[in-house]
Amino acid sequence: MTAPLLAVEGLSRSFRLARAWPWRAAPRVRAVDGVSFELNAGETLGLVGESGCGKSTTGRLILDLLAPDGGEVRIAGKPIIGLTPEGQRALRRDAQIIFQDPASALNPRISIGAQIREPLDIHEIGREEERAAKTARWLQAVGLPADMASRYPHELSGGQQQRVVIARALILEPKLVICDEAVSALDVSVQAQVVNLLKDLQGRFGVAYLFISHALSIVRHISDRIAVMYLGQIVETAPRDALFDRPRHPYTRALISAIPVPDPRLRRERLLLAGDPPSAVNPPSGCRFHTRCSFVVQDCKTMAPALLPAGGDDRHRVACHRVARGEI
Amino acid sequence: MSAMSHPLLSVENLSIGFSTERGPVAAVRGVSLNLKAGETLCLVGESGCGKSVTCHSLLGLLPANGKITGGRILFDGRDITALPERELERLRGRQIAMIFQDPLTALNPVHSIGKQLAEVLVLHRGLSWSAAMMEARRLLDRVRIPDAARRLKEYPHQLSGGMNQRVVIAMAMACRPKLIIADEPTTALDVTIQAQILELLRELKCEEGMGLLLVTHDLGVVAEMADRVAVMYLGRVVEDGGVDDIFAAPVHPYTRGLLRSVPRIDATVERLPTIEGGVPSLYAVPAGCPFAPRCENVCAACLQAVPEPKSMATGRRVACFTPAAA
Repeated sequence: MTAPLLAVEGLSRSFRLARAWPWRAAPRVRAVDGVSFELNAGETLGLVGESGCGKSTTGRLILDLLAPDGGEVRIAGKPIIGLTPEGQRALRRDAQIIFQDPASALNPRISIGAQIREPLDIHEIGREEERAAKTARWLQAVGLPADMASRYPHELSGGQQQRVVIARALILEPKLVICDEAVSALDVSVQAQVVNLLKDLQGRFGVAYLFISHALSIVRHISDRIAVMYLGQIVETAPRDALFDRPRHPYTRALISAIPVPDPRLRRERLLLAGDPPSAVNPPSGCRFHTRCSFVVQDCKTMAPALLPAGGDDRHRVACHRVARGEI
Repeated sequence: MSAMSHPLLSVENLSIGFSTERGPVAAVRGVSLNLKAGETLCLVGESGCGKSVTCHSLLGLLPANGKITGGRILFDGRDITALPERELERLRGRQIAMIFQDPLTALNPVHSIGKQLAEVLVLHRGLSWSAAMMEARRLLDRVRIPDAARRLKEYPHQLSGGMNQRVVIAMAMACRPKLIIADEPTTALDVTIQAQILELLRELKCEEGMGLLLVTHDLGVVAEMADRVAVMYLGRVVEDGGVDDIFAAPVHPYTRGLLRSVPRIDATVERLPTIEGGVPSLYAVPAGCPFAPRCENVCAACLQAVPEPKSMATGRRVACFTPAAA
């Protein structure tokens, strides 16, 4: 068996908050707490969860944009934590990231063509005319007209700007692209176009995506596998259809049930979660979800559940005592 | 004409313009809406379609560079576009209340929740402070905030986003208004919290029998909440009607495209259908039908004139020269 493109093991990171009083210790938020997963070449893994669950921090840790407190990240077998500046630069050829807001990712004073081409200049790839030709090809590949090269970001719509960001991230033909809420700021009709574009480019270039999003319905359309996070930990991971056909973890069930379906005939009895997510500063003991879970038993309050295969399927893993015992 | 026969809110041919550095912009162009008491009307559309501006104008809350340039807004049969500011103030809060997207900007960070709620009751309902505090506690119970007595003494930063939005809803309910306008009330919240807030709004609306004008970009929220829907595009209502009719058989090509392109949580498709192109800038609205450049049914007439909304069967109106068969 070949090694996965991306292997994340026991990844953790906490942040220190401002202290409330000078004589008190500064509280720490455990944003990411022992996260492990793998991503194969050419595959899309959707990483979903609500705000503050640590999904974006996970993305940043993987690209060494933040230093972890613990754990390991390997891309194509090579560890990426604590790289030298040269090592980091080499990493950027293989792994890129796309953020939510394209307007802040683009330089307002540089033309679109020059921005798409910049990675080739930085990594000194090809001769002058090859770089120009490649830039033109990528402009076309993301569905932008050739005359867009001389325009500036403010002349483009949000959807067009995000296409530019995608071209710039993919021009080096990286093996891994992290999409951090990459389509969340776009209008519905444009969002569908960009999701389709990302899928097309994956088909052509075999890039793998780590697709981080709070929008489960979009994740469903782009992912091969999905991992659900809650308060810094992965609570369930499964192939796409298995997750939606048979969500196991009580949190995943509630999350799917909470999403409104665009069909008035299907107004459903919802599985409403009580209360708000607890703070990651003082996460609940045992299973972190036990304070909002309707299936809670005594063990949930004291023992943290491990991420174990559910129903004999090694690819469908769930961190829940009651699922592990086959009770729910 | 009896008092029952006119709708609670009737917007007739409303137009709103803004003067900006880049010149004048017509953000709303001849919008007509009707909302009956006890009904939920959803205003849906993509950014820049004028849905929020329309709502803000109902309460006289347009920014200084914005102006109603035509049409009327009838609330309870009375034209409120011409009301002086003093009269509008009496209307706001008492008869029409508004819920915004971000509860933290709607609440005052330096006053306790209790004080802010009680203030509304003292000002608008003439209660004494002690009676107002009692009522504030009842209101917090009503929007299902646990431990209401303690929460009254707390400040917005001590509450979660969902809790703060409940406080804002309690404040909106304080004077038992006839109409609540909610502008993307759950957009800033997580889905599990959104589900709670939508449930609460639905319950309160049923119990109090008020009208709810809900602005959203999320067609899922529309399907959950609406009795009737108005779909907006570039400042115009392109289609409106009953929620079941519109979702089952959309007639305007924009509505059809929008409904198709929404990724659904309950189905998998390999390729999402899309609407070609993007929403044009308000500074460069195409001549003729504003949707013509993206429309799959475009014909010569669409490029020449703007289609007027035409009434169809079952209370539906569509502004299109080449509508699909319903």
